[in-house]
Amino acid sequence: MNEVSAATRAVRVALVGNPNCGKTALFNALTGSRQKVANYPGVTVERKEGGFVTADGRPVRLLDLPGTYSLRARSPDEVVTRDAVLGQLAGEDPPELLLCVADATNLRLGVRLVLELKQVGRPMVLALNMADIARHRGVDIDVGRLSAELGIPVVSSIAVRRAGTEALLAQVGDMIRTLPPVSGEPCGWSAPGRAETRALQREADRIVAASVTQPAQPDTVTARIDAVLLHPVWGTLVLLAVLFLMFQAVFTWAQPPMDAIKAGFDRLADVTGALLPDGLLRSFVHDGLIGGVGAVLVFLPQILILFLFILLLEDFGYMARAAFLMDRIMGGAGLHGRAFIPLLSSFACAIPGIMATRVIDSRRDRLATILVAPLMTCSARIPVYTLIIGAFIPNRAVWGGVSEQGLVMFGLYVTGIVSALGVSFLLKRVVWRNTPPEPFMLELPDYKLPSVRNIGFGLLQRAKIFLRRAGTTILMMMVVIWFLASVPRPPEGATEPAISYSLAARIGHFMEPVLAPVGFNWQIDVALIPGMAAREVAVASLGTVYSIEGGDEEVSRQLGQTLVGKWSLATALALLAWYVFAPQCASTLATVRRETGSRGWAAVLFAYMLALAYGSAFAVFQIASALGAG
Amino acid sequence: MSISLSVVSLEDWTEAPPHDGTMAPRVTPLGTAALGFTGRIHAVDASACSGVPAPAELEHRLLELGFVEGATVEIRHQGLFRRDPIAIRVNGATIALRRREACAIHVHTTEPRTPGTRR
Repeated sequence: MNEVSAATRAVRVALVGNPNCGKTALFNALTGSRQKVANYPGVTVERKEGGFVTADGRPVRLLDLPGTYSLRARSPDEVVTRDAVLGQLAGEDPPELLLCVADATNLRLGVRLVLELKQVGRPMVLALNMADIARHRGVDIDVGRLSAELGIPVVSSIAVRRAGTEALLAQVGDMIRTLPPVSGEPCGWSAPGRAETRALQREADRIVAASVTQPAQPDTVTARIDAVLLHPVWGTLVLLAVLFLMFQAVFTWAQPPMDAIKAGFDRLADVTGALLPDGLLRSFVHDGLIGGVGAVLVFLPQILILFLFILLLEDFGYMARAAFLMDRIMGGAGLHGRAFIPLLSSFACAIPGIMATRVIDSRRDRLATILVAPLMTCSARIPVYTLIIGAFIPNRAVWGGVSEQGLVMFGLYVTGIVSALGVSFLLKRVVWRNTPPEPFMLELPDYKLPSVRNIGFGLLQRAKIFLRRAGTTILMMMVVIWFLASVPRPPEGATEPAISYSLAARIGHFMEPVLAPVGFNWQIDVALIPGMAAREVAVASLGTVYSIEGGDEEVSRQLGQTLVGKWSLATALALLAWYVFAPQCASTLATVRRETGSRGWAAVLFAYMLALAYGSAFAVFQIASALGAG
Repeated sequence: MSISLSVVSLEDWTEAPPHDGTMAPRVTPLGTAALGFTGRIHAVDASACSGVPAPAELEHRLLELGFVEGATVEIRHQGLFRRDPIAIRVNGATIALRRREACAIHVHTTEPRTPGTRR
């Protein structure tokens, strides 16, 4: 009976390799769409697992571990890799087989990792990935010799090509047939000292020299591209152009699909409006569910376009170059060059941005990045900006076809960036005054053509994560807000709008004295609360609060007109200033808490953003009022 | 500030006697070398570097990125401000470092690369 269960039980295989060795591409190729992305308990390192079946019909559970140069882990990512390989990760069974991946075009660091992993004592197989690129460059690898030197099976693989992983699959299948049982005895690995690392690298270099023949003419494509992209002047200009193109795409390409999603939800609202009788249920479905979730889902195209750029640049090998170019500039503000990628992601949403800080080894640099990432103007602020700017800022050309509205929007983005740099500068100069800067050490991988399949998988994952969030957190918050705004029902013969009798109105009136100095009335105060779930919900909430009926599109337009009648220009500008900092985003705070492992840092983030929001809104309101805009 | 420091240490190194034998080339810290420098690693030793991470850790991280004694290095690129950071080609891989950390890598000059030689 034991034999039967042993033959059908899924075999645990862990995928280990250096960063940039094409490990994720190989994972995608082996598992296809059978992937699950989750978090390891307690840390926000993404846990990626997928499945495939060997030729014998044995199911395999493949665990994709974060890339590392050594098991001597430093960053949270690398700690996960070490603990998973050693079988010390809580809630995770030790892997039965290690599938090592090395970049065939540059084997020496990969081979050293293999030598280190051999000490763990588990069965191993080495995949020489990107074998096609190596062959194309004339790098000739004696696979038999390499296998003999390493004492483990070695197979070439091409993750991005169909059938490029067949040999690897066959090898893994063979090894699974004869896997020894996982022994309970402690493994032979201990953190290597410097002398051991030196010795391992020398041994790795010897093995590579013995089994790899380098081409007579080295490949110069990467060097020639870098001559431009890493040029101090041209490289910086290209980076700026890439960023400009990216933002242009996020705002223009995303418009048609966003309009389509909006129209879809409007139609859905019309249908349910016609089907359901007037009353609480209709209000719940119409205003709460469709209005609320629709207002958030509209941002899916923008987020996907932003991630398309980020994934493309990453796959191409450009992201590390961007960090290289930005290191000095960001270093002046106390940020690490590697913080560039997380901060860039934060323009879509601070949450993936904060999660991307995992690549930063040093805790101090990571914290600084996490604390300023929410100051980058995320796409959730866009609807709030658009609403207020559209209503209060005249749409006239200032100079050269630049509109005043566009200028204000640009100004809000710049304010966000400048304050992020300012805050990190203060952190560096005041809080961490006595800590010298962390080193900047980053591999610049050779350029390669992005793989359509990889990009597709990446986008699909991002879409899933976003939709899950919209379907859970945001949906729940919308139900709560709808409840607060609708309960209790107005008494018979009420003269005021229904919301004036609700719990929301009471909360708003309660907050009024505090927020009056910044020019906010109780309606705005109420809208700020749902903004806790997601900033963009504030727009929908303002709509609910001002008791306006109609489709989403119409609400936005009419809402603008209503606001012009109800608010002074000073109030509108103060709200814009508030939203540059807008601390209220529960998911961001939750992510910061998880990522930093402490409530304290989330509280610090909330407090300092609240102070900045209040302070700047106060200053803007008072100055604008004094200038006669009150 | 870091520039003046670098210059001082560069002078220290160039005025130091050759490491071994009379024909041995001069050993300099990679962090002070100019763009286009090609050479071979003589020693990876961060004991003269203060700061974060601790010298032993910095040395270990450099080793893990493939900076070991005997490896060939070439400074391929440098940043806009203060010629920092630098991109170093080391035995077929390109690694970006700040000049400050690169000072832990002591190199001696070899003849500039000619077409056809192995990198």
